[in-house]
Amino acid sequence: MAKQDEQTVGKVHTGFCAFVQDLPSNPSSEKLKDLILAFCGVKDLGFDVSTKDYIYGAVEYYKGNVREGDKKTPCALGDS
Amino acid sequence: MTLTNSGKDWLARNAGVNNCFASSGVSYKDLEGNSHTGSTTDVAAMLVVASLLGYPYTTKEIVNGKSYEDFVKANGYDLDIEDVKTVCELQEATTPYCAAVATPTTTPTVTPTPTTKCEWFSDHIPMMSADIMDLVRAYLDIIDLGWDVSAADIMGAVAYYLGDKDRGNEFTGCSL
Repeated sequence: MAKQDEQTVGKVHTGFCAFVQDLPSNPSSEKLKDLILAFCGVKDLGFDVSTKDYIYGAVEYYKGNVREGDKKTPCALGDS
Repeated sequence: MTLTNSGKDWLARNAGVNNCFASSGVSYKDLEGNSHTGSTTDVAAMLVVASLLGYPYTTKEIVNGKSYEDFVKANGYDLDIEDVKTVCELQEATTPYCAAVATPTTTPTVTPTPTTKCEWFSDHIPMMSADIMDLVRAYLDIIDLGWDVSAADIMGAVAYYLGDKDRGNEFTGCSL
């Protein structure tokens, strides 16, 4: 399935992908923590973390596994 | 999704303020070793991050010198993403969750004991089986240790022999 264009999916993907785009090069567990808090509705990051897959994908980005992260999220960091 | 009472107590004691869940004032470290101050929920979420990343992140210090592995030992189960919401609810409750306070054990009233007896016990620590036999002989009036040996003294000696000084002291009335 082709990756969704961030511009067409509204704040959900645009915000999320921008948030995680530097995780592969600059791993931050604080960012992962904030995604979990947002998923639980505890913190507002300005975008929705609608499924756990977003978190699992971000974890892959953190580990430098960009392709695996892209599989779990609507982002296409591997294409950039 | 399993956050046990032991896990909650661990969080309250290690990631709380005055043994209670707190919305601020909790010092913790992220997995890169940077220090932060936040809430009990922040710590719970960081613990989940460590779990998701796996070893060796599970061994890194997060709060109060303790790691995710330390938490799991207390909780008995892994911490899930959904558990973070539970922690937040307990933290934001009208009365935030607090760790159970250990009930102090009743200290038995110790009757003052002749020094000679306690000196004898003190001189025979670590207790040997031959010492216990001497106590039995003294109890049976076969030998004289210089003080009257009671059955409780023998039981205390056995406790000392087993390495349980507190129990031994309860029986003998001494403070070894």
